[in-house]
Amino acid sequence: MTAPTPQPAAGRPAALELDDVEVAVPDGDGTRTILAGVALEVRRGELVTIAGRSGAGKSTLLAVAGLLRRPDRGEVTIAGRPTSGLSGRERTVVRRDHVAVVHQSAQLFPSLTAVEQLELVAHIRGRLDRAARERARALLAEVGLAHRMDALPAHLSGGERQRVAVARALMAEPSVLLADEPTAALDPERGQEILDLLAVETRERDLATVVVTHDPVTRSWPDRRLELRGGRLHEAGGPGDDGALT
Amino acid sequence: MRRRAVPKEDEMYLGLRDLRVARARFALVGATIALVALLSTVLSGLANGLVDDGISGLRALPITHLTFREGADSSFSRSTLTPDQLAVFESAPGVECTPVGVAFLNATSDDGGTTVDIALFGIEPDGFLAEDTAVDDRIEGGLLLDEELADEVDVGQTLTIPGANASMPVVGFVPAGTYGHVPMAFTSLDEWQRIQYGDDARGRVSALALRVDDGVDLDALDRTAGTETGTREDAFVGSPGYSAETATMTLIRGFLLVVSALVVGAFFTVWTVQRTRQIGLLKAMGASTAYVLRDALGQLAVVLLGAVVVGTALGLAAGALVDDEAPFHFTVRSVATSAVALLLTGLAGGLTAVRRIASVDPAISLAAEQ
Repeated sequence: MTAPTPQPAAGRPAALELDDVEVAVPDGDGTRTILAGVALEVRRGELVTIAGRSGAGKSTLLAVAGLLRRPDRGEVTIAGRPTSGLSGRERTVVRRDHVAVVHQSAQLFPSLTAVEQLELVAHIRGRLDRAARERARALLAEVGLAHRMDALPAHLSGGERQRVAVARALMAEPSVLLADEPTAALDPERGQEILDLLAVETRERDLATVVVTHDPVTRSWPDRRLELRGGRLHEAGGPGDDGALT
Repeated sequence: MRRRAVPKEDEMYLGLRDLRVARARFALVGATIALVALLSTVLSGLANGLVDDGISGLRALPITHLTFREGADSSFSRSTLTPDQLAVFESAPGVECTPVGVAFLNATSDDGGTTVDIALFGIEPDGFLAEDTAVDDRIEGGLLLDEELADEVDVGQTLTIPGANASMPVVGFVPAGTYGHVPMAFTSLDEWQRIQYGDDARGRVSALALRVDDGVDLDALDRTAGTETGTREDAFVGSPGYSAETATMTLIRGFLLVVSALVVGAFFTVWTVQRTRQIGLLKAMGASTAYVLRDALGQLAVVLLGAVVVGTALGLAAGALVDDEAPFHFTVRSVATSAVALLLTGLAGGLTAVRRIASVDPAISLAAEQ
């Protein structure tokens, strides 16, 4: 699979918006600010990478963007819907209907075959019918796993597991796709394949994709490269760091 | 009617597949619960058998109440009633009354080859106890024995009561049952009084068997006669060993239920803790807490139900195998009660484990793997 040419996303609607997001965590007697007024807008069809040192707050940012964690301040808008005023149950529904996450090390369910990993997504939505089963098989075929449908995770290679994870995320038909270090457990070649796959799917399915990674291979294809440093997002254009975005 | 989008058998998606893949793990806890169910069923049969052994004869009597001497605590051996006391009940409207003598005796065959223990009931040949049972006037001058003794003595054989200088022929066998763990035997009240008191009976009996209409003031009769009257079932406690046996069995079964709850609770606690990351992932994928709980509880129910059914079946089989060696008696009610109690306590134990699902943070799915 070859990396697609970036397509201009300007003018398309934003599927993910973070506005003045702040998160602090307890640290000894005081608190430590992880995210200090972060602003981010990711439009449909746009792929953004966020790099940062270990402990910089990348996973926290992803958790906030994926409605897995409430920020201490600020607003997260998913598919045009502000979420700060939503109840926990309402946030779960928004997450279920609009957000999918590709986790580090795939995080597949050990007792489910590749195709069942995808069917579970439909089951959670109460829509596991024949069409959903066919769609699950089609998605696995699309990521090159037509011959591994009935394999358990223990019998899949690292690259295959991550492909299943991507297919599982796509099964949710999300507006926002978040990937948390998706290449961390892969060799460079397999890692590149996964990132290419994410880029292709972002374009083809008009997703707003955020990939948290420190992998240099990503530099060839994202629309924007950002770096999380000091609780703020910066353009990651080079050593000069052309200034914080927020 | 609206058609379900999700097939019923797929209500529990992940839990069923966990059972399929982690068979050995679930088989282990299932086998443990099945053993508890087996024990519980066997004890239930044993408890029933012991109870039957103690009071089956009394339970079969066509009476509603029994009257004992005041303070006798429903024990025939502690109770002696006089003709005056009998007269109080005989004259009471709405009360049908017949005197009963009960004694635990040892009888030996005339050739000295056979010795049997019997609970000898002396009853009036023309009273309702004789009329409404298989007992008949053969008891005048003879012994009608419970059919359990048919293997040990024969009709026509004479049994001697040592110490009472009394000998009586065996005149037949009836399904009398047992009382105080020994087979019952019937003779006439006159014969019983002769064995018990010799020539000085003065009309004394052990108790009164009653059939009482609704609305009769038995307390008033007891106050007049200096007696205490209770239902037939109340009198079960007077059977030797009855209270101790029932209490012991209840205690053991109670402990088994606690053990079951602890085993199930411990297993599912460990299982839930091990699955914490998976649970977080499910929630991150949009599964509600109710969805995850339903999945976990369904899994718990399948394990419990399967194990209890297997264990109960094995218990019934074990009981049937040793039926001749021990007083086993199964009833649908007692077996079902035992199984349902085990299911409920197991569920309670499991519930305390899976309730922690509610507190799992979906953000844990993003934490770096350990």
